[in-house]
Amino acid sequence: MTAVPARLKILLVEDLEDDVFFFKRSFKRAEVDADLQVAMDGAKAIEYLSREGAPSPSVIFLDLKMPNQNGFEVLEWMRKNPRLSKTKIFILTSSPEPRERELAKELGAHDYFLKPLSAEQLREALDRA
Amino acid sequence: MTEQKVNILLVDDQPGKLIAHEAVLQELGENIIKATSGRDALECLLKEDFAVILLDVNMPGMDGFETAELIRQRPRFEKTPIIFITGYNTSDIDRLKGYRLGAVDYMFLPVIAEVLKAKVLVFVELARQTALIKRQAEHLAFHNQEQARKLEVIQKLNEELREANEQLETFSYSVSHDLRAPLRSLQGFSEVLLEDYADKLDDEARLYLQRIKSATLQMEQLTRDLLQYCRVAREDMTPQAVEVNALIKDVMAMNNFVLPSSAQFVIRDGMARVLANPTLLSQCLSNLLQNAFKFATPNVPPRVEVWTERQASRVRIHVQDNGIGIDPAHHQKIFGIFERVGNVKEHDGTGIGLAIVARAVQRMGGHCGVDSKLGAGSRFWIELQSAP
Repeated sequence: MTAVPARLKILLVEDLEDDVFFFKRSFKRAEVDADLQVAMDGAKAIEYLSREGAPSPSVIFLDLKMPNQNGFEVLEWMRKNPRLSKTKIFILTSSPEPRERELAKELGAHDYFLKPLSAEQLREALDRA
Repeated sequence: MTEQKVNILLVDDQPGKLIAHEAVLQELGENIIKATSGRDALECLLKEDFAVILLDVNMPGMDGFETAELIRQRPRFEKTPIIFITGYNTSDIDRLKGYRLGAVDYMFLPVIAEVLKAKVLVFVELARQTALIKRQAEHLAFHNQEQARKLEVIQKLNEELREANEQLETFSYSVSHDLRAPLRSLQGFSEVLLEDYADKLDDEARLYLQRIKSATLQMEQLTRDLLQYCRVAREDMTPQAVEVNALIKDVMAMNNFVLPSSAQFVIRDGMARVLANPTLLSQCLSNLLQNAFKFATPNVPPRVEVWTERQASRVRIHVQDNGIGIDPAHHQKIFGIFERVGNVKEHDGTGIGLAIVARAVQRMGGHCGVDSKLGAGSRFWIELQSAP
């Protein structure tokens, strides 16, 4: 191995503080070499990602049920953004609705996880990224 | 009910003839009204309806034909039968005139009692029948109106019920959904305490936390099942041809059942296709398979077998296990919501699984049921329309 792989950049889009807490806990336990950023809703995520010179995350975990802009709208925006063409987008939601799962896939999400995400699930997901 | 008497009108300028005809007709037992002129007759017609009018042709002033013409001008008497009574000297031309005016018959003087009686009787019966039919028609119209009104009320109530149900579904759905976030916090933080602070808690505290955690897990399952139950009502019901074999393989792959290595699962060859909503049917089969593995006989390797059976235009999907079985007394009950039987403590569950099956199968136009005895395994079946 000659090239050192770039550190993984993760963005979590989640409006519930408790869920952010649980995600961070799993993240710590998964012991992956990565940077974690959190956007507390969809609008903030879009603002962050649109910023001049902002790094493109390799992985985004996206909640669906959020105020102002729901996850599907944010997902559509992300999939139209050429800077995120290589970014893997994983939905992280509490909704077990098959219809929402299908819609997320249609809109270009790579996978669909039900909360809470365990350390093992997180590690596995990041391995694929 | 005694039959109502009908009216007979006798019109003649000669009182002798009036009395003679009245005497003959009295035997019929109806009301007889006499008029001595055309004008007199018209006045009588203002007050009553008549079954038949016996009208003398030769009367001074307004003769029989003129009287008939005036009678016919009133819509109410357009169809009242008129029998002209006339002498033998009436010419054919006069007779034709009479028929044109709506006479139904002619009688020639001197009138023969039996003939008069017989002819009048025909019209009396006719009037009675007409009145009866009219009454029945009115009754029927009233009845129909009443039915239409009742139908309207029922339709309105149905509409209200449908709306109320829809609201209830939406309500249950949002409640189940919104309960999940705080529940996740409860569950997550009790887990954090158990894992990260275990050394700072004594045994009793850890036990209580453990109990909080299992309660939240139970509630998590409950909200999930309730969402499924509500989803049954929200699913689009356009049936599709579904390959049962492939669907069961998907269900098994998705469910990740934790099974002992000795467990056996058999899908028989030659599985049929059915008309169904694939999401709902996979939900039903998932619930049945879960139960089949869950209610296993202790210390016996679980064996679950699935097959289809064609019955004319329908197909039965059977899910058979070698588990603990169900007392036939409970067979009806288990398909109701929140119903659990047997040793509830040993088998966690929410009592919604089979209610979802029953409801989903009903929405797909099918039937479901179970054959089982305590200690003899269970065979659950779902019957649906077969797909071409």
